[in-house]
Amino acid sequence: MIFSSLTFLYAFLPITALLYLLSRNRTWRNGVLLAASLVFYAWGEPKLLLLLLLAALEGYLGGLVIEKTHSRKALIVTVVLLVANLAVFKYLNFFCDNLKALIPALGNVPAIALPIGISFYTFQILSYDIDLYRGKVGVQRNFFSLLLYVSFFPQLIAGPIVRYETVEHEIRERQENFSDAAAGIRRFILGLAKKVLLANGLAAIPEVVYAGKPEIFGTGAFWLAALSYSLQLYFDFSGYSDMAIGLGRMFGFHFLENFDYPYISRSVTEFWRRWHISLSSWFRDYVYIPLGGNRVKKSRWVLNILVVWALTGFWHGAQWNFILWGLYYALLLLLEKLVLGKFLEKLPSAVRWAYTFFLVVVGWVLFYHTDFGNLGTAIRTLFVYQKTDWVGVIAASSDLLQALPILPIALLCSFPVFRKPIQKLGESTGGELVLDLICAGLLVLCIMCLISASYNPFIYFRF
Amino acid sequence: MKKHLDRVVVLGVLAAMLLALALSVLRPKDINYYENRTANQMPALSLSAWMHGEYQDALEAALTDQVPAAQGLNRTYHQSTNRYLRGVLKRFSARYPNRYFHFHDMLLFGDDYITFFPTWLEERQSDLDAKAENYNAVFAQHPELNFYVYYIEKDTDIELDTGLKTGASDYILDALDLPEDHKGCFRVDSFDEYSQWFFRTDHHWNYAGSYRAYTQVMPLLGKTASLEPTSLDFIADGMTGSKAKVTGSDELFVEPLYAYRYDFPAMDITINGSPAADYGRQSDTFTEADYGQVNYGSFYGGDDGEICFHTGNAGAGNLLVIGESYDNALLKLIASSYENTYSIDLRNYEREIGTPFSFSDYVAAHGITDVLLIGSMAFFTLEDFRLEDAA
Repeated sequence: MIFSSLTFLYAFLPITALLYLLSRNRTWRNGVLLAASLVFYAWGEPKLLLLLLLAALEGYLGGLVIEKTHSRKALIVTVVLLVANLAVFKYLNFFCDNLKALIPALGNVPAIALPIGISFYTFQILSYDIDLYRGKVGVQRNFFSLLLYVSFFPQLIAGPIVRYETVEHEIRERQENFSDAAAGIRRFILGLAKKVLLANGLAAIPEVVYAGKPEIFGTGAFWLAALSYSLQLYFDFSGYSDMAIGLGRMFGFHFLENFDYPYISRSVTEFWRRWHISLSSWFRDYVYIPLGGNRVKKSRWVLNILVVWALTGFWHGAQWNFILWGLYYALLLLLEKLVLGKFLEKLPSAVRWAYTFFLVVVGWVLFYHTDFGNLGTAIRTLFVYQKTDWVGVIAASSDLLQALPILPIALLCSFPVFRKPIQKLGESTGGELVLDLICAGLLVLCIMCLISASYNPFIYFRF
Repeated sequence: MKKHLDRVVVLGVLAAMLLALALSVLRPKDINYYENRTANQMPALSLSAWMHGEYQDALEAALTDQVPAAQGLNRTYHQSTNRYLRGVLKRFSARYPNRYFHFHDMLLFGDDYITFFPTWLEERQSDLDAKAENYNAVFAQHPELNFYVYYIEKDTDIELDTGLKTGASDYILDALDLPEDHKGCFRVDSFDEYSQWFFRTDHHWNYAGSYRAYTQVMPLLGKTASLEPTSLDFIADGMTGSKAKVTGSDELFVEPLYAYRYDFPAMDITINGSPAADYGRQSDTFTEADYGQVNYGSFYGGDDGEICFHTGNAGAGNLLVIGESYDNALLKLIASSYENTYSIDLRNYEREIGTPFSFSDYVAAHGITDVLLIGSMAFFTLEDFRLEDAA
């Protein structure tokens, strides 16, 4: 089930909310959320629900042992088991396919279906056990409470990666109120609009351009596709994060922000403080710092950066292009830290923004193309001029034509132009009423698009 | 005040969604009028359906049809997007009339013609082979009958911007074991010809195309095209054809319906076994009240399972026409030259008559002398149009 579906909007969420409202105490309310979360997961992956339960059990039992023994060995075993789980289901086919490419005599390994959300929930369980070992959180003796944390439907299949410490207190004691619930609804609707109206609306542009005839789609069209995909990805993922945060807030949970207008960044370093914050901070706290961070000699530090970013790329998908994408950012970050940093600070803001935006857009081209042949074609077309037959582009697809007017709107919305007006509206009752009417209109528009079976892919679903 | 507003928002949204769900479950709609089909209903839950994902897909499909205002929202969405698309594409299409422009799953060409994609021989060769095998077997089984085949070319058979033909018509006609003078083809060799003989918004031929076909089919059958139009009449405005409907743009693409009038001889007509005053409304007069209501099917006649025409023209022979919807415009014309004419639409025969169609039994029971197989690429490729004897 995805949030941007009629089943979720008309059936799952209202029924869950009603049962939650009618529940008389915390135990019942947590029970409703847990049951709903398991149904939510089983909706798309009935058989792989067992894997989720098993992973949660591993984390739970590991936590009990870690708490009792304070043993590093217990932590290592728990981490290895959880990572092994992830490695088998997400990466085994990748490793076997690559080995087979080197040693053709090797037999075929049956394709393993990628369980939805495995990357997210595995990282969440790991954060619990590691933070428990570090003494940052207390042990959770109630398996069902830990399972609620792991499987909580707002963030189960597409993040943000919620640290246990963020919700530890709120699982036991939280104050639901109408103010939070209303704010959560507004946030959810804004996220839904980002996903359905902007992200889905833009999706056709890269799809048509990258699959189109080279005599029609030249350099101009490829830059159009690269820009569109950058915006599509941002609104797809940040929209989903907004929905997750909004849903959490409806039920009294306060998740941390996951995106902070990353496309206003004036350096790659800044970009990664604004994009998918929960993931970059996870890798910082659980991989980079344990490896020594920057408190080691320079050569080791460079290696740490390369390892962390290769893993970051690899986390996004079991394909070589994702590793390349991660290493691309590793190199850029190293360049900024070692060479460009002071020079960049002296440049005008607009130049720094253009430099960053350009590099990020090119990075998303690496992210998009899992086939290296297509990736090579894309990079070549971007940087070696080829004429675009713009009439041919218009003629190629009415979906692309439909997407074009969304592009300037999406570009505008990727900047915080509406942040202050929205905050100002929220300060008065009249302003909030206006905001609510806008949200109502957006909700109707989203439902209209969903009913009309708009192009509705969800990119981060494969994680 | 803000607290009250927050309470209203939360409870209001919750109540609205629950009410919508309740209405969808307890008062379901039977028909999706906008898409002209039965509405998806709430599925029954079963473990097996859940495990295979069928329940989930069916529930989403049901909600798409059943939530309040679903059809209105669907219509609004398509009208708005199509208005924008048509506005843009009309400008480009007018400036580049010899270029295809994609419009949803169709193409725009020339001056606002909605066309299908050309279907190349390679894409359909195996289906054409299967059809040829089927028909040749029937021809061999019935040497007592005169078989005639007429292939109708249209936008699927030609690339309108280059004039390249897809080759399907010649391929199937060559493959059929019939004398050359028993095979005919409604050829379309250019966009000029296509635009002369076909509707802009509908996949059928217009009055000129159907009359042209009549003048070719009659000599093929060894008869004379004795009926000539008495007039060319404006029938109704606001006709929106099948292609416009498929793209959800039926209110944007409209055209007038013109038709030839004929002095048909008197004939008794039965449709699916019941006597009918007429087939179609070719002899009716129309008023402004009919605007937007009349289309190809309602004027010329529908795809009924069995239509019989009896002229009492003794000795003129008994014809069996097996076709799709193109021959609807020709049936009364052709029937005028036979004693008895039987038209069978294999897609609907069994459902409307109640028994499967058995070719051998039918020709024996009705004393058939001539058999005309007439249709477009769909007729010669789809399994629906296989000729078989009931088991």
